Amino acid sequence: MNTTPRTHTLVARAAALACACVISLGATAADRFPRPEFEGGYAYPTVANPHPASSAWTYIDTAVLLAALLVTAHLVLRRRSRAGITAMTLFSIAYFGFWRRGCVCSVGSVQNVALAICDRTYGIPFAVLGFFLLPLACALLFGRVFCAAVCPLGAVQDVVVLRPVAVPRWLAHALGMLPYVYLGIAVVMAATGALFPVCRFDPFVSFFRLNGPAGILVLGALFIVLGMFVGRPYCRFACPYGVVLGWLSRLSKWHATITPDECIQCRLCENACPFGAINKPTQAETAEPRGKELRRLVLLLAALPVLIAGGGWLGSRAGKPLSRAHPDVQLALQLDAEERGAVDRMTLQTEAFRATGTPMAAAYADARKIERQFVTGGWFIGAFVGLSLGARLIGFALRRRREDYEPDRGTCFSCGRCFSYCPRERLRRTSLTTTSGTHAPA
Amino acid sequence: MPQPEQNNKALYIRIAQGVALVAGLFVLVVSALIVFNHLQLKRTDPANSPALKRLMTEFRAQPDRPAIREEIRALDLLARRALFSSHAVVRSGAFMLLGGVIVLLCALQALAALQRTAPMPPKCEGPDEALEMNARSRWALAGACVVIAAAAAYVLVLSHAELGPLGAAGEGMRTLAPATAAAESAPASAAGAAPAAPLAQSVPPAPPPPVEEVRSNWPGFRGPFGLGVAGAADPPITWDGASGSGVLWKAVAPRKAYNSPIVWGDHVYFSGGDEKGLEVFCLDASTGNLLWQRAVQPSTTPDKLQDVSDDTGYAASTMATDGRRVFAIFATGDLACFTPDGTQVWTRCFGVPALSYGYASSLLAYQDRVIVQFDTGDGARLYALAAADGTQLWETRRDVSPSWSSPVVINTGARDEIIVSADPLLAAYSPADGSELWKLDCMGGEVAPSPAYDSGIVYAANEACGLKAVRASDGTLAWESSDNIPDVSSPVAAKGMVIFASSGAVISCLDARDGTELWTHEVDNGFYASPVVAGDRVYAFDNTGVAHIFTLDRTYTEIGTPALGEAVVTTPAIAGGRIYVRGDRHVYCIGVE
Repeated sequence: MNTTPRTHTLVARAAALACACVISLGATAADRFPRPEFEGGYAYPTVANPHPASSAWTYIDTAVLLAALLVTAHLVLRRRSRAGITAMTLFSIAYFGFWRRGCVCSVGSVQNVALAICDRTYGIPFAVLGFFLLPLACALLFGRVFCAAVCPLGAVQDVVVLRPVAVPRWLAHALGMLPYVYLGIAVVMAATGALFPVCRFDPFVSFFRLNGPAGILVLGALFIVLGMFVGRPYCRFACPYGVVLGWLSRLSKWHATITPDECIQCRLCENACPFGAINKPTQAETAEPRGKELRRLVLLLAALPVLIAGGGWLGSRAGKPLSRAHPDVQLALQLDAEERGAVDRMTLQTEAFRATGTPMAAAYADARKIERQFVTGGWFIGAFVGLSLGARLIGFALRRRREDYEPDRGTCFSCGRCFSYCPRERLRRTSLTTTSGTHAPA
Repeated sequence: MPQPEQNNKALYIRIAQGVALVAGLFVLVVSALIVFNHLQLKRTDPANSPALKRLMTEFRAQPDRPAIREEIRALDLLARRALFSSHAVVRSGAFMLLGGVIVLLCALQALAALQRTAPMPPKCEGPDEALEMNARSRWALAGACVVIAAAAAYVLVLSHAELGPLGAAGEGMRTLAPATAAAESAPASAAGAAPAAPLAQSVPPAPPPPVEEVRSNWPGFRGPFGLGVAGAADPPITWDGASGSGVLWKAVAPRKAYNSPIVWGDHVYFSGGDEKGLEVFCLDASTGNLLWQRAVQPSTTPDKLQDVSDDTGYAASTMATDGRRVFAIFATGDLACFTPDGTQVWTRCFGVPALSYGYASSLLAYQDRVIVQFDTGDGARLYALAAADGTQLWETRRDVSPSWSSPVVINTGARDEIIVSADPLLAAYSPADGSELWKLDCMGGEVAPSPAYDSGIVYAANEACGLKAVRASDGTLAWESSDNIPDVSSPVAAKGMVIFASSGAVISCLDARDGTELWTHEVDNGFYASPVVAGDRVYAFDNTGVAHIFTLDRTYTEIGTPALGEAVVTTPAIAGGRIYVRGDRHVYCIGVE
């Protein structure tokens, strides 16, 4: 009896992996076909000029986002309905994912904001600003309800969670540094106009569009398959927007709770969260002497400036290589290579550049300026990562007092999975059913 | 005996398993078909079919064979059908795959839900376990720190090994094939790429001239450092262009232009340009004989420049020289460098300036470099190029509108500053590295007059914004004036006075201390040429060619008004006791035998 379902499940999972890879293979075939070189007699079809996208959608999208956030907050905080949250998850995949093709996306909007701050000539669109600010405002009020069911990237990962394994906490903490690095790099890249890496390497948007670069589709497939066993790997160990949401969620006025009223310390919810976001009550007494804890704290506080300065220095050193991602720097390097004789053929970019008559010195000067910007940005990235690392280490050295099982406000996605593990919640639902004479909300 | 509920659950599980299995198999089959399609498409590659290519080659060789053309069309149609039907298959397959995946996921989720067991409290952890977890987390974070640092170091080492300094090889040194070129394609120069700038001579020039040598010549627009003040000189005060009295020589200026002559030693340089070409001329200062003339190959032909007006022309910018090299720039954005004997050393193209009227800023030779003010609609920049080989020493971007004024160099006692005027900034830059020393938001309009300087105060003027007196030490405004301000001609400052001549035919003199008007003098014709100071005299040529010569004094005292007999809109050069002035068609040397 046990063997057959497992076999079936394995076949099905293998099929899921294969399909993800296949979509990627198909996507590479969508290249342009060159125009025929016929002479005379052939009437080329009239070039169609499609109308620009209606600006109404920007307002509709923003309104839908706001509504989705508020509904999700209601489902999480008032109704405590996992079924409702799942329904919202499916809606977000359908609307923000497949219908709107994953764009605008709050995760990527961080880059637009960074560029708008650093480049006065860039006007940030209304919808992008809305997509950046609304989830943050909601996080400040209700916790990460955006992650719960509104973010299409999170939603896709949420629906594929099948048999999640608990990632050891130490490993989760270590991997949790990656989003900080990614955020720093993304902000600097975007602010300098190099590229929007969060969008370029978005692993799921290609699924929504049923098209995309092969590498990205394979990356997305890997995240999906990994997500069956490790809950929301992208959200936890890569998402740069999640860093900011986490900060604000820690300060949120209201936040999802495991129990609707009081924790009875039954420990049934201890392993309920597939994302490892439940904090256990602290022990009243620890084996570690107080003096040792204090010494460690002082040491870490002293090390914090060193971490910031060291990170900044290292980041600044890495800034120049990072600047190679900027197209202007690439152009200058290619021009330089051509002038040095390292290559014997121009690229399309250098050919076009030379045809403008702009002196190459101007391209070199531009590249050097961008390199300097990246060095400055490298300081920012490094110092930011150093500060984050130091703050986390200090966090471990601080003695905290916690009496109940509580969601970790920074990392909890408010998905509501833990609700049903709590006996008090079950009691509440029974009470609701008895009172209203109808079925419980979930 | 099993309960009915348990039987139902087992049934649901079996159904979910069955659906998952079927969906999984469906997904696998669709995947296999798409993979097969993709591989086949890659193998056949209809867009680059060898048969089609062969036919195309044949057709190129024999274009008069319609049978080949028809065959190409038929084959091309076939190839297109194959390609697009393949794309359609992939797209349909992607939708089917998506549907299969959705069913598969639903079945798997249902299966997981059905097989889920009631939660049980896990094993209790002891008091040390939390401590141990914290310790492990700390070490893990430290490990993450090391990994991130190692990754950064790896990127650093890797990039250092690959990349060298940009631009070390110079510019335009090689001829490359264009990216789009097939084997038979032309090289880059023939494909319309930017013109190369060959280094015709690699002999380094002599060291830059000392200040005294600069002052004894007239090395650029408005003389030494661009300030309109001649070195020790006693130029003539009487001449008559019509009769030739007082005129040592008169030479034809072959191409019409509005740049002013410059003088270094025995050489007089000026440039000219029209729709047919751009040229640089060198005359013998003693005789007026043409020593050499050189054509400058433009990056774009002048007749393609749409915005150049007739009263600006293709060579409005005055040349510059340091005595070792001679520099000329034109409306096409091409800068050419020659030796005094006419050998072209290097050229640089700054791109066609996006300017209404045309480019008119003059060059400034300063020590071992040449300064280029390039304030255009595509962005404003100040460049310093090495006089020896044209290498760009620095470039400073400026947040200003297009301008037609020229840079000047001042010495404040503490340092040298390059002063540049444009809308809206009057700004000072370090000649060494181009860094901004100070700036003042005080200018406006289409700025053409260049700044003047004397005794710590910079004077910048434009009709639209008035004349501004700005302290060179910190860029603060000392005073301003608004009457009779020129729109083309530049002011000159000396001995506590600021003098300027306007298009409205008024010469004005202000007190440099506070801007008080000392005197004004109305004449019959307006001024485009800038007044220049020589000793205790001021020379101002009006647009008809009449020179208004007056004492540099706090009251107006006229010395003379000799006429050249030819329209003059250029600024005279004064060197060696002579005046070199360019009229509408000729260059004159005025002096005493």
